[in-house]
Amino acid sequence: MSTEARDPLQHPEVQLARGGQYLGTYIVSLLLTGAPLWLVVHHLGTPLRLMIVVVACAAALTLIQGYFWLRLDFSRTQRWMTAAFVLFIPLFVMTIGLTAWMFATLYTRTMIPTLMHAPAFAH
Amino acid sequence: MLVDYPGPWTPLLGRLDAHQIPLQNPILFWTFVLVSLGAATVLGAVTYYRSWGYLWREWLTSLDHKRIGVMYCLLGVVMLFRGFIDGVMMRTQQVMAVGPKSPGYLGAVHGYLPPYHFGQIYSAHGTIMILFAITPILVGIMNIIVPLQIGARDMAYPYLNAVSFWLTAAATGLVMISLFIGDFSHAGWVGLSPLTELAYSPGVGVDYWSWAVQIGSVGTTLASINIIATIIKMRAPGMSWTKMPIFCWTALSTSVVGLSSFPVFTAAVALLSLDRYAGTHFFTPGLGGNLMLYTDLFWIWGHPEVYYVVLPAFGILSEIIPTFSEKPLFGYITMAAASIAIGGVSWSVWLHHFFTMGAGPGVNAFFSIASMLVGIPTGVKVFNWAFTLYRGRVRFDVPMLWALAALVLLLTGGLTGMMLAMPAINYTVHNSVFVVAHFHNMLNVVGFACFGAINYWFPKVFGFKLDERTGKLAFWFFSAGTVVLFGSMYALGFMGMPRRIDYIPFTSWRPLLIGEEVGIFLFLIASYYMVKQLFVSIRDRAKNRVTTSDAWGTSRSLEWLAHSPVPFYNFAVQPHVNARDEWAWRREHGLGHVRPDHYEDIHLPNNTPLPLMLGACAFALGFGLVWRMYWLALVSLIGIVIIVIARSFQDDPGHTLPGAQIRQMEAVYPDIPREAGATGGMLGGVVARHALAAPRSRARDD
Amino acid sequence: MSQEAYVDPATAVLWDQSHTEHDMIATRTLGFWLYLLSDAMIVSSLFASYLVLDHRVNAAAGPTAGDVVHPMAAFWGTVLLFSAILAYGAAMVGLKRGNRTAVLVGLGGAFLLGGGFLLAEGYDFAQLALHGMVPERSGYLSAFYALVLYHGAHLVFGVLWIAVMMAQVARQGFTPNVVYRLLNLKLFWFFQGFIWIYVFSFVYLAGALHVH
Ligand code: HEM
Ligand SMILES: [Cu+2]
Repeated sequence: MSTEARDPLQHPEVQLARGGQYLGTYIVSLLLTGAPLWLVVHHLGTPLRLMIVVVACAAALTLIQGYFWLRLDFSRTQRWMTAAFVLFIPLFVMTIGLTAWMFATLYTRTMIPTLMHAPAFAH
Repeated sequence: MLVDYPGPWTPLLGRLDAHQIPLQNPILFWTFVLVSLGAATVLGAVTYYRSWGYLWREWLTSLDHKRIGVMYCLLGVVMLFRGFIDGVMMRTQQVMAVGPKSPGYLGAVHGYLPPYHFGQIYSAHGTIMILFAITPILVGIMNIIVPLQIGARDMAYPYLNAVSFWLTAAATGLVMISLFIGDFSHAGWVGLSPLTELAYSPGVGVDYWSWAVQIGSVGTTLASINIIATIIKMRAPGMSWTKMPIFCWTALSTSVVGLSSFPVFTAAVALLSLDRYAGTHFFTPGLGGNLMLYTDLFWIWGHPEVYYVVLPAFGILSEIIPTFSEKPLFGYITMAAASIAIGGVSWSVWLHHFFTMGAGPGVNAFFSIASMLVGIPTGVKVFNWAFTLYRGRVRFDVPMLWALAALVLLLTGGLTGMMLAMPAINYTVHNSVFVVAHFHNMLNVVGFACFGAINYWFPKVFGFKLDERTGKLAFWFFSAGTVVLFGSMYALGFMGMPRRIDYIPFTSWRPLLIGEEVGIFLFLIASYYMVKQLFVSIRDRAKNRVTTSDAWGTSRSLEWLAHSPVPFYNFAVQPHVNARDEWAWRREHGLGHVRPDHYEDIHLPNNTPLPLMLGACAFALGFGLVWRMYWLALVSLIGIVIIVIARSFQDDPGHTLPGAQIRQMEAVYPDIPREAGATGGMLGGVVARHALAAPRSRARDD
Repeated sequence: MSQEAYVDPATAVLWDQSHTEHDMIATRTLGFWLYLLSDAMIVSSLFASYLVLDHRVNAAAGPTAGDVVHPMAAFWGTVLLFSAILAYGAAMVGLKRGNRTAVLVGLGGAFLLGGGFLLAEGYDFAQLALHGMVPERSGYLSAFYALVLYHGAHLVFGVLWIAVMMAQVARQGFTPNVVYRLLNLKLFWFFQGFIWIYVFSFVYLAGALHVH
């Protein structure tokens, strides 16, 4: 097999590794998880606002880790992986989002409202 | 022990004891006797003809995609028969148990099956037909045909391919053994929650069902990965995306659907198993479980699954119809696009299986509209097939008969699907036999396509055609049965007959139930002719031998360039693809018989028994879990891990077939294909003056 | 067919003699990536279950998210996990240079840090269990454990795999098979970080945001 005859270490996917980018992503990842954590732990904002920050950080981190760690780009070596990933995103969103939507409407229509708003029992 | 269940438990045998072998039930007893006799005959014959070595070397340890595909199909056909027997039993029970005066036999109050047994039969029927009959047959066909159509030597991962097969076989084995040791689930193929919870189904039936489908769905997920990677990475040089046969497009789309949806099924059933084994509360009615969550997860897979089975069927129709219309397929690009679109839309419609759950009107409207959108790409396909037939020179060979009938069924099934997709109608017919008629109608589309495909590609794989006369008889009886049975069932559905009932209170439904019984008799006759067809064809195989690579004379795609039967290396030299219907192009330009001018070495993977062993471990794992023999489960799990790691240390060097040997092997094929006769195609009648002197092969250097 | 470029049948190339095998490494990594995506569908199902069951009713009068999650502890887990990924990244840089020692050191680091993450998580769960917060308690807790433990189970598997790969690198060096497995393991290992982002954000941070 000609590819095997070639040095596997010269394979483009091996050559993708970039120490500096790995390190940079690491630092940014810790910042983008640490910052929302700090805000949440110190209650710096309404729950809704904080939730928006959490979601935004998670989304940003997805892009950053996806690009610099998993190397999801449109280069010749990586484009099928990127395409597969992009095609799966709607499925993740639909599985979770549509499920949440249907159960939200179900709960509001079938559950006894007082039960829904009752205070949680502390243990 | 985290959960309570009735009955004893011992460390060695778990819940298993001698009482679990249902010898007191005469039906199961005689089935057991028959199956044992059958198995003994087969094993005896193998021993008598000293074929164990052959079986082991050529089949059980083989990594050849065609062999694996054939084993898949064989497994599927056997299970199709098993599921069919279940169907016969259900129909017979229903026609016997009509009205309070109907007599009861064998311990049943009415009819001959007590409710619990009836429940197991319909659950087994559905599970088997969808997961262990139709799915393996389709995966088998894709396994055989996709690499041939794209000019590859094998699948991208031959070893994984065998693993997928043996996992499917292990799962099937679990379903089958549940007949004779313990019992099967009685909670429907969908696993109706919370009936599947331990509190309501304390026996092992649901566990058999759940482990079987989990193991099976891992196998199918892996098979999907294999097909996607094969199509993306292994196409022959020259085969751009727009030259790829439509069957490959549908195989790609279906595999994407399978890859993305089967894991959800695994997850749903795994959570159910956690409820049953670890005492969690995902789907329990109490302590914070939500039983509709199960239904939701199930159908997130369940609906894509129905498209998982129908897309390859569409692909098959797209291969058969042009061949027997002697024309290229109409609307190639729209056909490919529609295949992908159907796969995509199939992902956003699942709630139509539980409109009656009571989600908000916005939700129901969304899913209703999404369901109807499926009609657009499907309609595109139907019109494309119709335009392919239009002005074609249509021949009614057996595969074509199946394909044309499938088109008719697709229309009625699709239209009733549309009806069901309207929440207002759905509320009135949900859980009636109208739904059952609808999906049998659609699954019959798949079944017809499979029978068509078997008749169509049989000569490619085995080198001789299936018998025409018996094939036609089988077709007509089967079609008649479909119309009579499901026609009656639609009518009963309109009259409001609920599904899954073992006793029918209204005698006014008896005539239609008799109609259904007549239908099932027609199916019985059809299956007789199917068996006979196989028998006759094998007996007369010398007469039915095909001497050319192109068994039908007018076929179009690349697999018909390979010899019939296909040698284990597929193509001696990788073909270079020049046209969309490469074989038709070569034939019509008189290039069909041009052989490569020299042969190179071929590298092939070695056989290995490891996939078979993995399957055996998976079976033992499932069996151990079903009976809660935890030691067995643990041992087989460790076995799996050890096999996987051992395989990774033992790099398969494969073996090389020297070019000279290939030249010899190629020489035995006498097939100088029929020179281009006039065909109805656009290139019809062109006979090229080809210059044999021109170099016909080149070393790719791009 | 008319829309296709015309190929002159008289000179067309019919057979490809170059016997180029397909790029084995790229084929393997693609398939493995597809597997990871399908695995992510299982995670999505678990997230969907978690969202549905993260409701007061599903807590069955037991603890809710706010009582269960410890975002600070989870953050230390995050640091360990991301460090484990960074260590694996270092191994990949070593691989690029063909430096066997660097690869082994990187893998060893990933092994230890990944193991550390598992220990921290195990400690956290032990604490919860001591307070009676076990999966059998309620639908909510079942969903919580299923999601977090599924991620944890992947790390157990990953750590095992790293050990196997260290043995292979040490014994066999950088053969094509070893290299493609290292690449697959890279995808696997990095992907766990990816999923952890969501577990951390939507289970731990969102859980801590639960208002009472
Ligand atoms: C592609 C082939 C199809 C197959 C194999 C198929 C199969 C099925 C199955 C298995 C079920 C019900 C299973 C159960 O409840 O146990 C079902 C129900 C249903 N199908 Fe199809 N179907 C197909 C096409 C369609 C189409 C094209 C539509 C409409 C656009 C459709 C709409 C529905 C609806 C709305 C139900 C739910 C009915 C109810 O439970 O009330 N189906 N189908
Ligand atoms: Cu559906």
